[in-house]
Formats: sequence, structure tokens, C-alpha cells
Amino acid sequence: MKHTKVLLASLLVASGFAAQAAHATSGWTGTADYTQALAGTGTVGTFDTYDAAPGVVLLQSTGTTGSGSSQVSTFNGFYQSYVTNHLLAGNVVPSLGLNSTYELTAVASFAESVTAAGAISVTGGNFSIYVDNTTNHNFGADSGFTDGVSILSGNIISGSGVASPSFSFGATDITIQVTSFNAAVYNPATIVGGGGEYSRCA
Amino acid sequence: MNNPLDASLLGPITSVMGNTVAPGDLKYAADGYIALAVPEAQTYAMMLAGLTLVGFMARRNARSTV
Repeated sequence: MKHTKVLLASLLVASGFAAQAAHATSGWTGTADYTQALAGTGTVGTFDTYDAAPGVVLLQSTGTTGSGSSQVSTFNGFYQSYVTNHLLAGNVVPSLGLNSTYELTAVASFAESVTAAGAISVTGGNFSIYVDNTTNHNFGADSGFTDGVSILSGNIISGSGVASPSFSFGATDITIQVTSFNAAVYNPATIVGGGGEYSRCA
Repeated sequence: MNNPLDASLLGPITSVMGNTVAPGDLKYAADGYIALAVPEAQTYAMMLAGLTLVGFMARRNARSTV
């Protein structure tokens, strides 16, 4: 009996962690005080989403398998951009000083495959969000995206989407797992994951 | 791929995260968002129930060994 209870307790705890690992998640809503990570930044009221500016995606081929309609192309991808707004239920939340006195930048590396029919599958990757008290990101110079302090990072678990044959159009939904974040910045400090959608904007 | 609309959005890009753009690479602009998430309530409930039971059993074991 005693062993049964120990087993039950262990299973309940393990189930909780397993569910967390499996991303049984619902939306996070909270505030952020970026000054806790880096002086000279700012704070923002209740929000649930980071809205990113059009950023750059670079896909470098790692090979192809099959041919014709069964061809699958694989790529290593790299992404960088910056946050333009904090959103709450789709509405912009005021964030004084964002992109004037401080900036939030996002970078990601990922692997993906694209079938001949245009089905995109993101198979893994990682990402980080940085806060910086200097607004110095520069797409042309490929600089200013990973300076400052990392406040939230993790893995890209999966993603799926569709692209036109020439990549003139593409959209991908992704699921992320947050493995590290600054608990002094986010309140409540309960973030475990998230999701997003990226689409080609031109 | 060097779509002129991408170029107007992003300017001339020769590398991304230190990876030099090479002939044949695909490069484009992407717009998106990230919504943050927490564990579902039932996840917390399972963990809490398990931890409570572990704590109860530890307390009972401590008493029985006195």
C-alpha cells in the first residue's frame, strides 16, 4: 500500500512535468519590467504577445531528397528582427521608450524542409529575445541583434506551413518551448512556451 | 531570391546572424508574432496533487520513525 501511494505521488508529479514538457499550455498574460535586466530600458503593462517587425529570413540549402513531385528540400534557416509592439488580445499596449531609448530584438536558427508541393515543416531550432538599452539593430550591417541581455530563450519545437513553389509566398506556424527567461522581468514568472505565425510580407 | 519588395523593406543584406548570403540562398522578409504561454491549469493541478501527497507521506514517515 505504501509503495502504491509513493508510486501514485510520483506519477502525479511526473505527469505534471510531462505535460509541461509536452506543451500543454494556455496563453500567458502578464507584465514586463525590462529595467530588472538592464538599466535604461523600460516597463510595459499587461500583454500577451510580442509583435515583431518585418525581419529577414535566410534559408541555406542543406540538400534535397527524391525528385519531381516527391522532392524534399532541406534548409538551415536564420531569422532576426525586432519587437515593434506589445499586444494584449490583439490590441497595442503602450510601451514608453521602445525603439527610442531601448529595443527588444529576436533571433532564431532553425531547420526546415519543404516538399515539392510547398509543405513547410520546421523540424527544430532555437531562439532568443534580447533587451538592449541602445537602439542599434541594423539589418544591412547584420549587427545589434544579439547585444544587450538575453531575457527569454528556448527551442523551436515544431512548425508547419505552406509555400508557393518559388517561395514568393509562405506562411508558417511555429511552436516554441521556453527553457530560460529572466524571472525578475516577467510577472507572473510562469512562461513555458508559446506559439507564433510568420509569413512572407512581400 | 532577391525580391525587390524585400530589398526595400530590409535594404541590402549580405549576412544574417553571421551567415553570409551565398548564391542560391533564399532570402526574404517575414512578419510575425510570438504569443507566450503557461502550463494549463490541469498541469499545475497534477503537480500540486503529487507534491501534496509526497509531503503528506514524508510527514507521516517522520512521525512513525520517532
